[in-house]
Amino acid sequence: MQVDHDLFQQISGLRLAAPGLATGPRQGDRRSPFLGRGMEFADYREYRPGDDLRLVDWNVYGRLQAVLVRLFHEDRNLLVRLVVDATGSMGFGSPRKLDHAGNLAAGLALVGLMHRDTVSLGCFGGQGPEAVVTGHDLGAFASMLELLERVEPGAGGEARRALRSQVASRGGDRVVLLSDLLMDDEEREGLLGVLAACRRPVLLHVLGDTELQPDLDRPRLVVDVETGEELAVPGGASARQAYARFLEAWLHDLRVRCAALRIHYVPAFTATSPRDLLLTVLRKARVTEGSRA
Amino acid sequence: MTHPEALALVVLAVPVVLAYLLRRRLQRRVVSSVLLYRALSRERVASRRLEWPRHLLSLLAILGALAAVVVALSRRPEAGSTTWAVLLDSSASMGALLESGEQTRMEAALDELEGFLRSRPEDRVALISTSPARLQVGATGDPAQVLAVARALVPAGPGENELALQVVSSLCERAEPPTLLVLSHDIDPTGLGCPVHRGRLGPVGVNVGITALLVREADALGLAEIYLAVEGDRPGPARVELSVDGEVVQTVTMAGGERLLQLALPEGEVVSARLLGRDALAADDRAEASIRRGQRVRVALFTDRPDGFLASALGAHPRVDRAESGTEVDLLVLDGVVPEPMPTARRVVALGIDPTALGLSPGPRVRRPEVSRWEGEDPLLRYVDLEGLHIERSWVVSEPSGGLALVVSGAGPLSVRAPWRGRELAYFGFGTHESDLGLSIAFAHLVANLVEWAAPGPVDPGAPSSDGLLSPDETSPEELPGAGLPAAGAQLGWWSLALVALVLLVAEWVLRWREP
Repeated sequence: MQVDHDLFQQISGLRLAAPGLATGPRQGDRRSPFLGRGMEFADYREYRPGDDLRLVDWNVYGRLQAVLVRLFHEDRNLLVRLVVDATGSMGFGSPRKLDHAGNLAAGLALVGLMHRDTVSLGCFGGQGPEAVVTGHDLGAFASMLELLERVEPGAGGEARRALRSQVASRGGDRVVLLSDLLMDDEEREGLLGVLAACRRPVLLHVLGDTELQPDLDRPRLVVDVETGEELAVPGGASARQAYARFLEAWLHDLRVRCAALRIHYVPAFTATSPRDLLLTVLRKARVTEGSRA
Repeated sequence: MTHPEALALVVLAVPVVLAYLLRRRLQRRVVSSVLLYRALSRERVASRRLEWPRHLLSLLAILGALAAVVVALSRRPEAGSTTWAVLLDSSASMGALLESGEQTRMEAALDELEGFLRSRPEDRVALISTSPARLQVGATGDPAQVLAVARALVPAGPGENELALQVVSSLCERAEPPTLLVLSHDIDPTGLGCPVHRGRLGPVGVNVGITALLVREADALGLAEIYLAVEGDRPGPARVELSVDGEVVQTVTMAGGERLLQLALPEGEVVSARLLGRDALAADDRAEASIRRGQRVRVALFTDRPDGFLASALGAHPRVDRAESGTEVDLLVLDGVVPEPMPTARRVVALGIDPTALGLSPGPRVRRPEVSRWEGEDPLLRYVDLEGLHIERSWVVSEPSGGLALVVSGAGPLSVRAPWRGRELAYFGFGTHESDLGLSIAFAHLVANLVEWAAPGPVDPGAPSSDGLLSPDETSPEELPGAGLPAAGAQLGWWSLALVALVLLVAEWVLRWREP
């Protein structure tokens, strides 16, 4: 796996968009649903034994003889989970879809870590450890890059189970799945279901030239790299037209299905460079936003 | 096939079949997923049932195109024009009606010729007929002239096939021999130096024909012998009407084969035989034969027995004129006497004379020789039966060169016929008084034969005559097997086959490369 290091310097002005409240485990600069220590006053409540005496509002006690403690809105960081599909189908295209997805994932991780968001990065279906690297500062970025560079496309696997194991049990404020979704209908529907159960899910759909403009000049026997299934397909202009029609319909159905599941669908095809995707496309899609810092 | 080398193209079928077999093995390609290809495959599943026959049709189309190209090349005309010699049978048998009854052999042959000429406007054509055997049109590039001359030919007379083939053979011996086209049912042109094509005229219907009519005088009293032969493939007896100068003499019923009739014919010149009933060929249903009447014969007899059998027989013969010595005669009869000087005569008969007196090879004179054989087929001994002949004494003579022993005994020839001093000599070693020949009917026949032998003029009334008869081959309705006209005739032309090949290739392209 190759990582474009120069890219990350150009994206340092971005941060991950968080349309809702942050629930990260650490204090951050994002509004959280929790009340506690913070800068912005929220409410009073009666003192309970064990409360920090520094939170008691002594002025109120002096006027009203009531012991009340001050409550503040607590700012947390964002808990982002990035999941990269490393199954065999991601090893195709030029550039490889897995490299493309890795660059995107690393870029998003960098954006999140720069703003002290808690970022969890994991891969599934690939060759190598199915480890998950989690960090909340740039110190974890090297480990994430190492993980990405060690992963190679695998033979496939149960994407639904792998995704569930990485996101469903741990939660997260934003789950970003980078996948080509090239799996059978049942597996894909299950995967989308798991993703939809997450908070503010994002699907970065990674497709390459081998899917968008396949070589259909002549009849061939195509073999699925993951399942070994063989299909004899015709060639010629009419075949290309039929394929294009089907691809368009498939993508349209996928968008409709994601919309129905409230999954933020963003096409991240390899025809668009990771730089453009991070700086332009994902920003327009409100996956990232300009940094206010 | 004028281009046998085109067969070499057949080897192209091997790579075609190999390409077909290899093409069926699709190239494998590993893809990220077959998900997106499944739609194409679903469309293909509907046509997969037709996939194999479509492959096969594609292969058959290519092979068919290849075969068409091969045949087209084989039928492609040679560069430049070709010279043809058309041998058209114009004998009477070509007037036979074909089995269909709609046209004759000649009409069918002319149709074949017309189609042939139309298909080869660039070629040069010569026309040879068989009746008469003649080069009717030399090699010309004007097909209309050839066709006009051919149409002017009327089937008649016996075919002079051998002579016509000699004409063709002379053409075939040229530096650039023509290709021979035979339009006949019975001419066999094998052995010529030219390539040969035979037109098909078609079988004719049922036919019966007179194959022989021979007429000759049986005796001097007007009795005639008629030899009649009828052949054909119609079952049942045939009825033949005989007439003399148009006057019906007798109607004969024959169950095929031959028959010898003896009739007292009236005065007339020509005997006609007409086959009653209809058949395919009218030309052989009628035959004619001239009645040959013998001319008068002048005979000079030198004998030592003026009242003997010989003098009496000659005197009784109605066509014999006795001549005196010193005049020119037709027949000189020397019965034991050799006159000096010898009268002028074309034929001489000597009986019982020492052969040395005539200059013949001397031989012994034997007593009571037994005749062992005689030449019954010789005109002099026709109908002469020498069985049981008693001869008291006879000279034996050697058979001279150029002569023929007529009567032979155990001691040697007793009678010979040979050229002699510019004449024809018939020598008998025994005289009429030295045997009992004069007492038998054989003697009368012998005298009659001698008179006919000596009769002046070329006509031999004893020989049968017949006129204008067709040969049995021509009467036969059968046709020799033929290979048909050359390919450029009524068959598909080479360009047509090339067009077929092109259509097949287009069909194959549609089958293979326009499929969804």
